Amino acid sequence: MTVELIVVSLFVVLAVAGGVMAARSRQILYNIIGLGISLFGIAGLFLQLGSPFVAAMQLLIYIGGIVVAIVFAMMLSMPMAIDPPARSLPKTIFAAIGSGLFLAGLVGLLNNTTFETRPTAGDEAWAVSRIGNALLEHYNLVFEALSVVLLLAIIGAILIARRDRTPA
Amino acid sequence: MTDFPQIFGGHWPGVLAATVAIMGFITVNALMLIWLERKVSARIQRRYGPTEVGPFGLLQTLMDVVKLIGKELVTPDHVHRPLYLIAPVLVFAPLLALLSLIPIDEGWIFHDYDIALVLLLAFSSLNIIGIFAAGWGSNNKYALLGAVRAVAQNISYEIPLLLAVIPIVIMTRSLSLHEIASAQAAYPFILVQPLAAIIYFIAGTAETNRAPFDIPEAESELVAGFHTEYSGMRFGVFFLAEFTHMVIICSVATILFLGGWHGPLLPGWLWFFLKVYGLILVMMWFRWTFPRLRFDQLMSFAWMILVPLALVNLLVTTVVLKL
Amino acid sequence: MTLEMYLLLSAVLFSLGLFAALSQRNLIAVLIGVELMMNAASLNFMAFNRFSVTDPATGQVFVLIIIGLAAAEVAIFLSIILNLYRQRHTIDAESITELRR
Repeated sequence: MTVELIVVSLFVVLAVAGGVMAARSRQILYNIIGLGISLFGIAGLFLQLGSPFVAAMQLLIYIGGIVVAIVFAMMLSMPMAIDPPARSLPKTIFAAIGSGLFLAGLVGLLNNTTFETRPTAGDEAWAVSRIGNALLEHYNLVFEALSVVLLLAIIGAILIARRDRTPA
Repeated sequence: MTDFPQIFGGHWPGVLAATVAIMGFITVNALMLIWLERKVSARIQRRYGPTEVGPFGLLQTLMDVVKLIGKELVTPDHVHRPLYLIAPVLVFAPLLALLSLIPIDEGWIFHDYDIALVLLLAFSSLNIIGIFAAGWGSNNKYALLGAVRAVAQNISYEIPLLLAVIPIVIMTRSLSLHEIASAQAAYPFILVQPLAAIIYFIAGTAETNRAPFDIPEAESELVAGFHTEYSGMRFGVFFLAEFTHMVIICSVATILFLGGWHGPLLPGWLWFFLKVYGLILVMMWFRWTFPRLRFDQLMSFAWMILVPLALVNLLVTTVVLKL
Repeated sequence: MTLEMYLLLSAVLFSLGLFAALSQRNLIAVLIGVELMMNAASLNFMAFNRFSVTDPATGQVFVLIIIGLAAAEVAIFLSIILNLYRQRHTIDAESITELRR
């Protein structure tokens, strides 16, 4: 039990520390690294919440795909020797006030709501095959719509980032 | 549902023994593979290779490693220190974790995860972040260029890798490596999925940055690619990571396509190692046979040829299985 | 950890992401804030999935779809950033304005 508590606390610390690093860093590289650390912590929390499949998918797609794509875009769009632009103080203060108010509102909402908890389903309900069945039977429309969205995103991304070949 | 205590199994001495066994295996394996590479490359090039130190030059690698360890760990002044120091760890650590997933014989596995295949692919893609950290942290134009090319190559060849593995998963309805290997008792899957096996092997060779896909670390191209600024044992860690990755790719290819531990006379684990090292020999054979692919040829090979072929293979598999 | 602690954690992550999206000047940092918000939402889904749902496949399907949509959104975002960089040679959120004050 205590080992589990230590590991879960480690993942929580990773998630929050990564989030702080992602939100407050001066250089863009540290932002990305903070995001990676936070995603890793969240993947660990997914594991603790009972789904190793979703944790592995988070690692595979988010860290292995999305973070790498962000790193690529950063390398292609920012020369190495340029100083980052100075942060404007009024903007930071207003953003802090806004997100602080939002957090206060959420915490107040959490305190005033009683969430009903149901007993955890058995082991066979958490099997990976159940996810596959759900995706293809009950959530079929969402699955197909997601595939169309991904296709549109690929085509759109290629079209937007294409160099214009204007005839000379 | 799988909680943390269930995953660790509660057997702490077992986990510790497993970790020590894996580390021992990696070290001995790397020594053997470096020797094998030098001998194979020498014979293909019609020369002898190391013959002085020990019988057949077997102790040559050990002496080389001793020399490498003895070198001073120079950290250049201009590097970005946090990234530079953590990059070898990031490149090597995911591969270390992956070796515990591979079943060697019927029941010889540390823990039978039912999502082992997905974990394998996930941790292989964590490798890419380490390569980028090495390139960016070196603060060197050549290293950065090598890192950009390595990352582009890795993410491009990850897609045919995934697409070649999916027909096997569809056929066996399981993501667990142990179950996939057990399902090949009658015939290995390479007989029914030859195209997927070829695509997987080619994409796997590209994933480990081995020739003919070794533009990122080519000796004559970009000084030394993304590990230009690394010397001594840090460079040794990159080397170790490359050989370990090779072993992992070939082990997974054995399990997915060649039947794992099934074989007529010899014990299962012996068949497994014979198949794995046979595939590694084929990879080394590739290196000294094919010329290096240029970077645009590499990318167009992945996107224009491998991905459509893998998609067609997937389509044909699903159609045939539905009939 | 109880359900309330997971919800509190996801609220904290969400506001961190909101702060990043609002206050950062670099467009990629804004993207990172948006990704953090999406991850906080999926953590929320998984927490409810564990504690308050009869069929646990529901929450996992939701999170997988969120991950897929985040990938699509990042692709478009990054191609817009690349196009913008090619035309303006900057990705500073405060200097890419054409409205004159």
